[in-house]
Amino acid sequence: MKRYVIKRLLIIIPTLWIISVIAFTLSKFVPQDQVSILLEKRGVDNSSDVAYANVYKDLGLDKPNFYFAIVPSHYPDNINIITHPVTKSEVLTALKSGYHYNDISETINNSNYIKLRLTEQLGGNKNFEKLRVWTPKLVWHGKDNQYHNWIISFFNGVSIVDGKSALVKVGKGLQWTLSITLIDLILSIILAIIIGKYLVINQHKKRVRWISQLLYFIYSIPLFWMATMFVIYLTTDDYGSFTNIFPSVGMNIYPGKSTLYQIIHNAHKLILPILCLTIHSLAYSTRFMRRSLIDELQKPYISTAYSKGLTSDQVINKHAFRNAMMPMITIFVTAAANAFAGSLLLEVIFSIPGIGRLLLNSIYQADWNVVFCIVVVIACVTTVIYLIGDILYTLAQPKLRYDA
Amino acid sequence: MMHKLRLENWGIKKKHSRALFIFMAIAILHTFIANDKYIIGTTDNGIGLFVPVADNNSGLKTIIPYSEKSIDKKNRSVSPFDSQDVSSLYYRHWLGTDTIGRDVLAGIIHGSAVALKVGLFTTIIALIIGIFFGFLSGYLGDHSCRMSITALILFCIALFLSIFYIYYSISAWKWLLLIIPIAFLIIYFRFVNYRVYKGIAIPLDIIILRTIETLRSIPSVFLLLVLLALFSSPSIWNVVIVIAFLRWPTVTRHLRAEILKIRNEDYITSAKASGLSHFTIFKNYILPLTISPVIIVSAFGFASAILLESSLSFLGIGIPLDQVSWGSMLRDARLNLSSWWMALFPGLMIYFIILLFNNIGDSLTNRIQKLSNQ
Repeated sequence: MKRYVIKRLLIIIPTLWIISVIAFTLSKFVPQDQVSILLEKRGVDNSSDVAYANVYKDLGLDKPNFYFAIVPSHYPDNINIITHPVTKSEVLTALKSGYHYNDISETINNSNYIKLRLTEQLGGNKNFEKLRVWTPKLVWHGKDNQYHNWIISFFNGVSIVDGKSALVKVGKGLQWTLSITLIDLILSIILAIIIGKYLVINQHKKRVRWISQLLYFIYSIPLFWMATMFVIYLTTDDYGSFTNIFPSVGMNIYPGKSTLYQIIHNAHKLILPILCLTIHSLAYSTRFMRRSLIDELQKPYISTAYSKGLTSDQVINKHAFRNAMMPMITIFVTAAANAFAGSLLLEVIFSIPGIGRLLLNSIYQADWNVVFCIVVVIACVTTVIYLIGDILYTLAQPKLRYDA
Repeated sequence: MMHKLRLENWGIKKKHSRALFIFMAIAILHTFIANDKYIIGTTDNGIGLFVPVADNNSGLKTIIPYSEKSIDKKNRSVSPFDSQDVSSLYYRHWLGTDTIGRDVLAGIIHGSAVALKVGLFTTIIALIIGIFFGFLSGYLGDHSCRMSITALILFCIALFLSIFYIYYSISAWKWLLLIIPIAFLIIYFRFVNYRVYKGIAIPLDIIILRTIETLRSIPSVFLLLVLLALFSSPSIWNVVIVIAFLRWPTVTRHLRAEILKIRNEDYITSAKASGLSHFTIFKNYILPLTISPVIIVSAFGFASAILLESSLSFLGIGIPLDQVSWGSMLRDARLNLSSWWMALFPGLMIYFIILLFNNIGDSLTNRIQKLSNQ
């Protein structure tokens, strides 16, 4: 058992490391220029070279990307030291046509930053020859690089929208999301067990067939459509005041209070989103619970139990039920992942300041530091959920407990 | 041969196959059903397809005289039951209009084309990638794919150099460099290392399983949003590619589990002993027996792809903002809480299509369970 858990923990580390590398690599391919957006937000003139270079260095963008780099031999060791994007793209074009960086660096230093027309200047000067054969060279940058700094600050960056720490924003959002998903998970699992058992015990009654049909139909309803319909019909006076049961969307903000205080004081507004999420996940988990209990009742040990003279209550409660609960652990894990995905849509519809809405807003505003912080944090949370699921599964199944 | 192609033989109910047929027909013929132009019409210059409606033009009209983008300025956000300012019943907006006067029914019909496109192409791409990786991880596994040390080193060098020059070159033909490592692999496994049981075993199964696990650890909607935001221009094909990229692990997982059940059967061993190539064995002996769960997964995958696409359009990410889909209609509905018809009908369409594909998946599952019990 111990060995299994340790093995499982050891697998997590490379997985998270790979995710962090992928997230970092993706963050280098974003379509927008972070520095100029930040300058625009601060109201500084975008074309000023000095201001641009200062912000660029403040964000640490002048450092090399990774611990090492493999570049053609005529490239500079660290291309990021060229601050201005126009200069950078011109230098890259010249490098890609085969000019040596030593030739280019002289020209850069001698001329104005912008509007270099580097390739024309180099092409006119016959002293500078194009390189024919490119050979790769390995450059070792050491610890002082952007990836290392990102990792040791726990994926923290500066949000370009308000200049706050990305990790703090993500932490606040995560509290909202986790409280919604946890309540949903607990409610839906408990209800699924009760309803699933009821459906199996009374499986030959007509109303039970109706309920399972209904659950099947609910299972196919898109969550965001259900939420939209609830918002339209149940939060406004447009269709008669008696349908206006729930408070309108949007959270009350209490400035200066902790996130937990805000969540508790908005509890009445969270009822409808949690209801949506619970109905949605309930349909899925109840179907699964019913299926696993029915499967369990068809096994030979059940007929043995009946032949011993036990009542059907005893057989179901004491024999079949425990074994049928085993697959529910898998469902717990899947439902947790689904709840995260579902809460993203609900947060947008009900304007809850959770992690999903934060992600969407950050994408709209090109706030990539926050986006990739969210990606890594969400990956950590999901991995931990999968780990808990695996460990629970091992604990619940004696066979696995002793084998591993 | 023809009778084998009937969907009923796969256990799909007749009403479901009919509904599927109607959905496909509407999606394919959407421009001929709802359009503000004549399908075939005469103008001053002669006969043509899709002639705009004007005083001196005449021709064959469509069933619904509105396209998804045509704006009726006189009828803005009218409900299906309101009195509408239209010249005849033919021009009535049967399912109402939205706030700028676009017909909801026409939008639904054009949205079905988007849904079919996303569902179909996502499923096909996910199937191709999924079956390929299923072959690598399930059939070849950790021990069957062997390369000698020299070949492995040569391959690594070729791969590294081709990626290096592709990344740093500006030539338009640079992608052809990828042929070198691929051709190396094909030639090596086809002619040089044909059935040689020595060298280093490449742990394909472990590599692919770890990749799947890594992909699984980020909830798909989150990953989808981030990946789509990286594309500089929105397009429906980006959505298709990214959803397919997230769907293939499901196909691979199911195929791999099935292959592991039959991989060590005697007839596979004798097929190997008789000298058949891995590809032939996989195609003729493995795939026909293991494809059924993959088809079931694809039916559910179709539904989930449509759901994902509509959620994305609902959030306004992925497909272009001016393209009408079911999700984008729901996005407009969220901003106008008093127009219930804008939310009800597109949502019902998504619901019915998802229900249809879930039902088809369930029927297939039942059929295959019955067959395997026989």
